[in-house]
Amino acid sequence: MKRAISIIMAAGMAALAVTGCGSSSSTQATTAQTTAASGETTSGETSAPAENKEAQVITFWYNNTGDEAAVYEKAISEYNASQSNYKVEGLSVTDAQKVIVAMSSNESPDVIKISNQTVVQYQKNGLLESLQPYADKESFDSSIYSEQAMNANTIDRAIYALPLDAYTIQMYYNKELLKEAGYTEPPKTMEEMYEMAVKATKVDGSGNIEVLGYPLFPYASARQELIYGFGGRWWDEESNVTPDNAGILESLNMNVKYRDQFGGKALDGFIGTANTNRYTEQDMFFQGKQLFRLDGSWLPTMMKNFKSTVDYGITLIPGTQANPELRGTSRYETDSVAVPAMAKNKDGAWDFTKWLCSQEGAKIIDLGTGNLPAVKALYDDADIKAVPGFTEFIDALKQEKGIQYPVMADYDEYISMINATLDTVYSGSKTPEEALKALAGQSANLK
Amino acid sequence: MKGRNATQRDFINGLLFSSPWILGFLAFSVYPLISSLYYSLTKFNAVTAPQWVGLDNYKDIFSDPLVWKSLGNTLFMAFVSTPINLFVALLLASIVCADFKGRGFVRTAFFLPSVIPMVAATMVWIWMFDPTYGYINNVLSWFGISGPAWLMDAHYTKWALVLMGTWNTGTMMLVCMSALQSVPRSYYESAEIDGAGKVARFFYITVPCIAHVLVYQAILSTINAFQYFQQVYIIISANAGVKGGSAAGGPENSILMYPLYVFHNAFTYLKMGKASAMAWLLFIIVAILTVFMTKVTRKVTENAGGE
Repeated sequence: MKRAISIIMAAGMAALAVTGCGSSSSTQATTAQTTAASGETTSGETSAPAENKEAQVITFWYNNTGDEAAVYEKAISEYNASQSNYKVEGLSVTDAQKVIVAMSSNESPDVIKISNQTVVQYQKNGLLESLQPYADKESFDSSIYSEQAMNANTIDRAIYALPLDAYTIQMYYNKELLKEAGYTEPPKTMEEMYEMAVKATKVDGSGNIEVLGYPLFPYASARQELIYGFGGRWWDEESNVTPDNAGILESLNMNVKYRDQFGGKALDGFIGTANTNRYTEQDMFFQGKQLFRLDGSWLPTMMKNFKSTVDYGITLIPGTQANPELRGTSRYETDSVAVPAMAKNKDGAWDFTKWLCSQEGAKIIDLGTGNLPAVKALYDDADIKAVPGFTEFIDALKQEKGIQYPVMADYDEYISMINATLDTVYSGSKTPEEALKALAGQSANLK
Repeated sequence: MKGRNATQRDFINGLLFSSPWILGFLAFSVYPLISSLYYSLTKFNAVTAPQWVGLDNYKDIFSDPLVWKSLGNTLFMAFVSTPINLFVALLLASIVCADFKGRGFVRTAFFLPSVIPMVAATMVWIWMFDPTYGYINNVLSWFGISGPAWLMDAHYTKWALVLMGTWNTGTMMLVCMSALQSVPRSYYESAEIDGAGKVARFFYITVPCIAHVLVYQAILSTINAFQYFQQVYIIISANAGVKGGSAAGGPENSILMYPLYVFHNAFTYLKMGKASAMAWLLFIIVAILTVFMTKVTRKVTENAGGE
């Protein structure tokens, strides 16, 4: 009797442990049964619309939160209302790690919104479904997008994602500070910009910078646009790393010259504070403490919301005296919509992707999130053009001078190396030549 | 014969009773451990099938300067931050053990930072370290010192983390407080009769009596330092806007801690194989350190006449 009791108790504990471990799957099974009973099928059960006309569920993960997430939900509602074959269920997932874990555990969403840089990385790791067969099958018209938008999402001549919106950087300038420095027109060349920046920079009695003339903040722009303006490139057309590019050195030398003139510590102090307050009411540009700011199309809306009284203008990023045609060269990125290779309902995923990135879907997203259009027809849309700053940025987009991301799996590692290299230049521990030489050695084996 | 049956029965019953733990241990500890060892010998992006590469990942980590840089940063936190934190905790514990009015409030105030979520606390510290408007530099300016850009200058970033760490020593303070209160008062009374001053009493009575607790705290704190992640992840993410790029290690990689670099390899660079190899290297380092520190603890306990 005693033995029987002990066996029953032990078996009970073991059963508890096993059911504890398996609760998730059993819950899923129950859910599947429930949905099947109610006539609703999960996205993985069939690949074509169900015979009973119930919509198949498509899961869509986007990396936006708050008001922007609401914009995505609005777009999802409109798609769901526009047809009856599929029902999209959206989820805000800001953690890229979660997407990877979901893909690896057979819980992949059907559609994901990612940057075009991530499109390249995922494609190189075999995580994305090529959309080319779907496009070919339907003779999908990709010419509705700008050429650079399609290039940003095409790898080895195959489409891996559709562009949802675009993102580029141009130059803002504070008209009042420019006037105080004795100029009425913004610079067209880097040399002019430097001259204006030096004259406009204000330093207090302790050497602290009160007004930053040269656009070293944000560093991300110093790493990109200030270098592109000199014709510098971190990689070439074939995605080979090119840290020995002459334009990079030229740009860094100008940055170092400015730092030497006003002091690295003073600049770090200004930039540190600027970073803590970026895109807040105390943002240095919104407060009239930056002459030039290389930033995105969302800045005017933010300034309006924060009631900034700064009188600003928007102009193209300067070229150089030797190469004035480089004016307006900037990074070009897209938010992209892709289908993971592990998606369960790829037909439905393609249908939703196509709609979301169409003129109708993209307009909702562009207006709601303040990003620029990738669909060319939206360039001249009255609602889009009414957004502060969009006219100037769309003019810049039309020049198609965007610098594309390289198609390399180790892109993130390369950027980390570049950032660390630039740190050594700015801290004065290495000259630009030494730092770039070291970077060439470090990055030689990247793929 | 009957005795052996009874022993077998007890053994089986024991196994059955402990089976929930055994199953959990096998599923959640042994299996991931063996898996990570296998993955460390493969090229694996966490999603598609791993490809066997033998010891390539280990060769890679030994030739990657960032592995050693991150290990150096982590060792700095382990061996510089730990003694400072221990000193601060002991100091605070000594203060709150004294008999004075408002002692309860002071104890609560000292302990309070320990219950604040790390994310919130780190965000507050980022503001405190602001070069222009931050409290730290404002206080320094009262003494005519022009404070640095704490989180922008590679010379100061790790010291900023050390400073942050001292704020969060409440739990350590509680343990020290408990140890201090366990020292028999008769020892102090005898020493006082013999003419020992406060300093002598502290170094010749207090410290030896609580040495085993201090060593134990030092071990825990050192091992915790090898898992230093959250604070730097938040600081670097907050600075990501200024630099761009999701994966970085702060100015000149000065706060790239080892666990953060493992994380970047696993989830940013999608190099799960290399991340697994790095995790095993860390495991070996921590295991050696633990064995060494355990021996030290035993020695200290024996010297203190402990049980």
